[in-house]
Amino acid sequence: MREAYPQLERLGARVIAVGTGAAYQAQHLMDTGMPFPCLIDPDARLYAALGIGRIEWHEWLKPGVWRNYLGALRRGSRPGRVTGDPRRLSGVAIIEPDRRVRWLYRSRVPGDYPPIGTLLDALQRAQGRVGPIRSAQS
Amino acid sequence: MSARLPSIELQTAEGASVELGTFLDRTLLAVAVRYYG
Repeated sequence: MREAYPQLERLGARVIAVGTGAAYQAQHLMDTGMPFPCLIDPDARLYAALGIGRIEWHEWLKPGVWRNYLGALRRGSRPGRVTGDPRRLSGVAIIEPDRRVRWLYRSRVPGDYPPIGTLLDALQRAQGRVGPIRSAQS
Repeated sequence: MSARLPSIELQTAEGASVELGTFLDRTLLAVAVRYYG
């Protein structure tokens, strides 16, 4: 996301990250170059509004969980302590100024994010720059 | 996908309260993440 930020800005979008974790982690991200606000949602209200759920304990055994984890390690990520709700899944939403959710991606396992190309395409469609928006995965 | 989001209070890393609408002066890409570290 960090690398794609200039492209997202060129498309006129504002970007925020939201997590249920600790404020110091959000601050650390911004201090180390995350170019957009990293906010805290301690009660997971945005998650609830978007229908982003939680992973069940037995789902940690799914191959996709470990595939994503190993992929993150290969990309140089060194995940540290998880704060907030460790079972909370992730997601990405495109929200219009009238608060309408135009596109939504809900992860199925931790570390599951849509490819940047998919995001850019959805954003262009949401802004009417290309054809009608397609239904989002959820 | 056409649901409208309600008012949602978030917090900045400094502890200040901020409403989601603050960021809705244009199309918003909200990324719900897990913070590590």
